[in-house]
Amino acid sequence: MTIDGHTITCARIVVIDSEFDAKKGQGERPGFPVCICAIEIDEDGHEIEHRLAAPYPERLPWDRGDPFLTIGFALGAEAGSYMHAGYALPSPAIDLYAEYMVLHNTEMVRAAGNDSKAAGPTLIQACQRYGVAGMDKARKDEMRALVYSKSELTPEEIAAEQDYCLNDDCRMVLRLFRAMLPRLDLLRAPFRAAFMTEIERIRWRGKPIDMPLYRRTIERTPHIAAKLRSELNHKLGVDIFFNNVWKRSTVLRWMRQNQIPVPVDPRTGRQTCAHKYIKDMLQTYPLLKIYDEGKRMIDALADLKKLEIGADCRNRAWLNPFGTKTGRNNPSTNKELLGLPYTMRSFMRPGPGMAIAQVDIGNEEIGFAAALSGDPVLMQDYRSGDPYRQFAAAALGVLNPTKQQRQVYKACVLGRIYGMGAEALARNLGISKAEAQRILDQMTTRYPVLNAWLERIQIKVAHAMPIVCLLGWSLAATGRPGEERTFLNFPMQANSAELMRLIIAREPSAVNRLRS
Amino acid sequence: MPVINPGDTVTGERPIMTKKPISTEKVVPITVGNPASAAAFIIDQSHMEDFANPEADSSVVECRRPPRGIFFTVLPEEKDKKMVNRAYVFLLEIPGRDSYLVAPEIAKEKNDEDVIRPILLVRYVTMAGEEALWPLKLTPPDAKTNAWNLSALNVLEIASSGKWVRIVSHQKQGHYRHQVSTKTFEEVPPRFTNRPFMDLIDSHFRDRKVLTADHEIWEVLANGSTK
Repeated sequence: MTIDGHTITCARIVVIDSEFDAKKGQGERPGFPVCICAIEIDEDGHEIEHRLAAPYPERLPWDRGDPFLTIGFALGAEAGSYMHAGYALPSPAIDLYAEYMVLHNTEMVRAAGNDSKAAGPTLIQACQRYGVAGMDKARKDEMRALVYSKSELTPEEIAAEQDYCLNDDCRMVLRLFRAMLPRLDLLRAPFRAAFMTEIERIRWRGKPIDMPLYRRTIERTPHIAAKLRSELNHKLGVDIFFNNVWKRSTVLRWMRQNQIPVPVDPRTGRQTCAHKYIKDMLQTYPLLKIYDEGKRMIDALADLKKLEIGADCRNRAWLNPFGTKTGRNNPSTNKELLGLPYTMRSFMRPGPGMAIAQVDIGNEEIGFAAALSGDPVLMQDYRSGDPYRQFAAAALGVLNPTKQQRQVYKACVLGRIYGMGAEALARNLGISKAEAQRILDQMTTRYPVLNAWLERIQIKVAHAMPIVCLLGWSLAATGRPGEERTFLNFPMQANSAELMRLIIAREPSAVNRLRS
Repeated sequence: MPVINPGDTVTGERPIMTKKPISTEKVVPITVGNPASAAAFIIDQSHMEDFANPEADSSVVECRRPPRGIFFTVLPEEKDKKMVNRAYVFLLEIPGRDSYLVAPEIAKEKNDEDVIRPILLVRYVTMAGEEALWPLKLTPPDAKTNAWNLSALNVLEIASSGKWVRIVSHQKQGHYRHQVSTKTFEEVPPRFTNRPFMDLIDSHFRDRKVLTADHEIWEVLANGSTK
């Protein structure tokens, strides 16, 4: 009905769904929609049911020029159908999947019971969570199978798909919407829906793969892997691969022999060399970095066939939005190219006359820490372009700290933000605990406002109150031991994710405000 | 758009629109955020301060010169009025031990002890919100002016004029220098607690107040101690 700039008042809601071959796991664009259906509800509560199928009209029948609110569950799927049919992506919209992930983040983290997070819900699961009548899963599977199994459906089959799409899926989404409505953040939900549809546009485009190189690599994987294993053994001076089998005990022994501290998995109490536990030590121990990069490369090579590449030679995989507790995307580490080790990005190759730019935000977490805490010195250091160098120079009283000195102070700053104590820092840096404590004290002295802010976060977390980010993503304490580390880092990581969503949703004014 | 009556079906090759009876729950009109205006809906992050009562986390009150490298400030005192956040006291300082607060009458009685000296205790707060006591040494009336003491008092005056100040030791020159932050109180407001000044003093000197002439510290000074 009206748009006042910041809000839009809609006189109609339109609940949409579409049926198509999702071509899961094939790296293809989703199939052309068999049907797009919708339930439109006006101010008087009148409902209009829409059943569309090819040939699709030039304009959606519910698009009459006045604002209406589109509602769906995992709208990325419908975004694909819209793009096939030549429609603009729906806006404003509410994606109940995204809203479920926002509302239930803490619950999902708690359910997972470890460092990861439970997978996002299906529509049926979300309905169950809200006590909403769902549908028979067998019916859903049957209708999906019909779409997935045939390229050409008969008019009767299309009509059956429309009935299912409208009377099962759309109705279920509508019931779920009514159930979730009291909890929805209506001001920010459309922004998240815009993100969900835009990432489908990104997936739609895909990443161009150098197929000759990729195929050669696949063909020669056994040979390349054997060579990499041999080279790694040679570089490390020990056979961590014996008869092509990785030996964990050999790695642990090799670490001890090279005075590399061996972390302990807090869950099992056993010594470990898993990537997640040694990654903070890689900058300090170059040998360990050689091991880690080599091992990850060999592992990735074994899974290289799993990279999802479509017939148009482009990699497309589910980006799993909101898939981590901090709200970042969590795509597969073997189906999605950007989940593979960094060096494997060279499989990406632009077509003739095209180019690919990799854009990164430098020192993003430090920038957020400075902005959110209001620490003037950290802000000044961040604006210098290299906050770690500034800190090292000030702490050591030198103009030009060495690369290694900078690295030590960088590890300290990041470690403190990650809730690392003197003991862990000492282990990662290979220095004494007293020395690590001295550096942490230097950080407290240089960034007192940041330090106080981090302490206040811990106090808030101790009250089991949720930490809420700039656009509503939040997490509350679950009561698990050691989770304070998550929370110290959470405002930086999660707000970085909010910023990325803004960038993807192409909202420059919000990005500028966040940056300032 | 064709006009559709309830129950009508718009026919073509297959039905595309059907009008249904009225829904029971009204959901429109509905007002939502404009996704192009996400900036207008950014949540103020000051909620991070919730539950972070600075009074609650200062059970230990330090008594020491403001740490180097940290900006701090002090509260001003009204001229010719009784000081509220400062106090002249006597401290008994023995190397290797925490200092003792000595009652004025006892200090007078023990005026031959050179470990007792007059001090100006001042309440200060760092930019990080840490509240503490600053013991400024005072030059006795019969002694030569000490540049360290004098410069510390100067820094105190500057800090009490509504500024964030950092104290810097200038060893070669034998006095303190200071640096004033460009941050104003509007940008970074000082977070003094509501605790009474005497409460801070009590917190720090809890068990180390010398109120009588038979306090154990006199035995330590007279005959020594292995502690």
